[in-house]
Amino acid sequence: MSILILFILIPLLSIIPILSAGDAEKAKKAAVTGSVVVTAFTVVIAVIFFVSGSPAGYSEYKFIGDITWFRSLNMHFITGADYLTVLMLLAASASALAGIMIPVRDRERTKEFYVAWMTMTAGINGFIVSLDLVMIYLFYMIALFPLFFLYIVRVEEKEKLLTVSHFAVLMGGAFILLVGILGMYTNSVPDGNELTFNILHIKDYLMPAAAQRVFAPMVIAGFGILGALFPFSILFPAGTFTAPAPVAALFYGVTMKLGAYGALKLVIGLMPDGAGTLSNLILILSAAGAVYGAIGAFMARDMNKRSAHASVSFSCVLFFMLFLRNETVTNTAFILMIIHAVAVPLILLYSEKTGKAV
Amino acid sequence: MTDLTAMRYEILLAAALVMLLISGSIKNRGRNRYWLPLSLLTIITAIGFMPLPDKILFGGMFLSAPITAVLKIIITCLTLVILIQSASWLKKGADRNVSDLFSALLLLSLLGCYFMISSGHFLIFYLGLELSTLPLAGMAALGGDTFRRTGSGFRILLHGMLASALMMFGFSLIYGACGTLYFSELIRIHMGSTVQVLGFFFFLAGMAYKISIVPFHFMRSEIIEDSQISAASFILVISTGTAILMLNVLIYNLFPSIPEIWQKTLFIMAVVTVTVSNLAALWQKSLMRFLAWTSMAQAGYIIIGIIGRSQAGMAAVIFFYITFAFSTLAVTGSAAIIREQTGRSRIEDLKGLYKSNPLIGLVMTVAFLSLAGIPPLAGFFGKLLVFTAVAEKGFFFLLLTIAPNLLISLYAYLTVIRTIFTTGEEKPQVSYFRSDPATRIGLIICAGGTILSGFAGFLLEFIKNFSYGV
Repeated sequence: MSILILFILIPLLSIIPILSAGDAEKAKKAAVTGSVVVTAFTVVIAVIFFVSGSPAGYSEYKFIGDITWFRSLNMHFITGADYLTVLMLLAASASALAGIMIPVRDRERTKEFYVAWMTMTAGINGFIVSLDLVMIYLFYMIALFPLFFLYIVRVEEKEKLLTVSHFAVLMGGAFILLVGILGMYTNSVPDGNELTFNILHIKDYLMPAAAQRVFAPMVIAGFGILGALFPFSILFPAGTFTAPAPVAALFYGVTMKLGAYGALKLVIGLMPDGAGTLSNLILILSAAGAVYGAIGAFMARDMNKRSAHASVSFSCVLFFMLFLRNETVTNTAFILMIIHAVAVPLILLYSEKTGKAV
Repeated sequence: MTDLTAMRYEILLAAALVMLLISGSIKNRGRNRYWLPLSLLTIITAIGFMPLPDKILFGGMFLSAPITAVLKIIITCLTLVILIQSASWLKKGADRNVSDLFSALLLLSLLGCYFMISSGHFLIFYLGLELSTLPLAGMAALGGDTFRRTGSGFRILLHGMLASALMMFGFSLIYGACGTLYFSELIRIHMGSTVQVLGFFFFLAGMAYKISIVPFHFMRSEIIEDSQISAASFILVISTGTAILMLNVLIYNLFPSIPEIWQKTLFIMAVVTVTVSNLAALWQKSLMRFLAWTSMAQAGYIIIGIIGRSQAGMAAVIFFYITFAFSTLAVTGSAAIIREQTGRSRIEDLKGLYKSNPLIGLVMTVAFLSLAGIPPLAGFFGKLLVFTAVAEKGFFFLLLTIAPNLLISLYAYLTVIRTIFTTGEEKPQVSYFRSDPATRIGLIICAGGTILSGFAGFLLEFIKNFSYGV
């Protein structure tokens, strides 16, 4: 068992004090405390990671833990962190901490709100630290699904179509991703060996090029939908317009970036041939998405909408940078990602506190 | 003298049935003895976990193997849950006089399921099928709105007769072509002639009626809607479930020489069933009708596991069935208590249910999410195992056709969940009520099973080890 499992357990355990809190204020305090603990823990892990190892070993996975889940499927709960994982964790925890400071306008069901929020945080962290394809999918869903309870169950009838369609598109992406993952599983090892979901093993073996070209587009489609790659981005800002500010902050700050991060981990990392075949298309789509998002942000008259459009644009920029497949550009992309992940919630926090829409 | 210890389940259940009937005839009419069937079934369930010898009885007509014991334990435990959930309905109201009758019919139908599972000959299989189907008509027709319930009973009879006729015709053709109906001999016969294939198709059609696979599904939704909910739960989970499990076992073992034929047929049937049922579920107004259609879709997913045609696929099918059963019973249990307390049974009546009855609202939500295949609930792992089994065989086209269906079904389930969580000024349709302890225990078991069985990797290993004995 790895220490990284605490990234999932701390948010989940903080649900207990939230549920047992007497009123909304206490529930919020419990949620903030949980977020502070996660952030502090991330900083500790980051310090240990960067101080203990030399820069040459940063791209190797550390803190690896392995728990068997379904032995006959060779499905394990494997966790591990390389430097990109640590950077992503920093972005996620900082964004979650900043986001939870934003006041919730709707006072009804505050406890449920923070429970869903913490579940979402656990899902995001789990997605980042997992090294098993099924676990990645599982946490991907846990990171996304609370959105339904956080705002979609409350939307008015007239906004229902857009929000529900947005959520449906996200879920559709997840199901395509699942097929892609099963394809990776069936091609994960040379013939005759036991199939595996373990990313480290798949990386060592390198899938056959033909299989990569079939399944890379499915995985890209799944992550591209989450990462608002053009043309999937069209529904995004309108779909999340009615989301409460903290939810929008976490979604645009971190969740959406999981799309680009997942594409890096599974497609560029495990299916380089597939990524190579697709890279030109992805560059064109992401450039188009970046321009589309930028124009949308310029036209928007509301801070929530504007940051949504800007985040769509930024997410496409991330895809663009990652699919250039250059190490320096990738590192730059991650630094930008952290800045953006903190900036979005802070802007929304400012907007909520001051009441200034634009 | 034949050693009958291998027939322990059947003998015990038959004895329990006799006790129940005798007690029913000597007791005062109107006095309820709900505890009797419950305690008898609990004892049978407990004894069921004791080891059982592998035996072939009556010249190969009756088989007892590890897998048959596992399947019997599973369906007995689930029947026990159904009986616990029926407590509230059986104990009070206008239905108190039918308590013993209902319990007896339930056990009789379960006995039929036992014989189906242990059959080593198509004749015993057929008798088991009939024995499990006929009492359902009586169970469905008991109590409440007499006209609708009786109609439902007749529908079950009609449906059962069609299934029997087709299956009997199939068996005749198989017998004509192979000269035997013993499983042990059929396994050794290479099938492939037109008559044999035709016989297989008729057998499959009969099973499709029993499971309600499109296009053999008609009347299913009416049956489930109009029946007493406990009977509907039994039909959805035990009766249909046994048929699916046996289709899984028989098709894998008896027809290995025509895999392409049944794989293609099941492929088409699964895709059509899942698509039609999910689309139909979108338009439903009644909760039980909705559940009828969505469980047909779930049956379609289970059939996909059969197409995998492997040891892993068989274990996946059984595991999927367990997850499906827990989730479905959680919904039917909630629907039963809501109907009993408030008389409401439409989906729109669930508006604001989370506000008025948070626990029932949560149980239903968890169950629907599990049925939709959302991780980390059990339904996700059931689907994952089934999909992995077919992916290993290279059926990616099948998975791609199923992916949009997952989305449609998710939309259907989310619509209901949204109704449950609706807030607003208006008063919830279902006002607050306190359910009785038995119902609560039943719901807790189902919700617990729905949440936890996905984490129980050992359960799959257990099933997989036993499916080698088929």
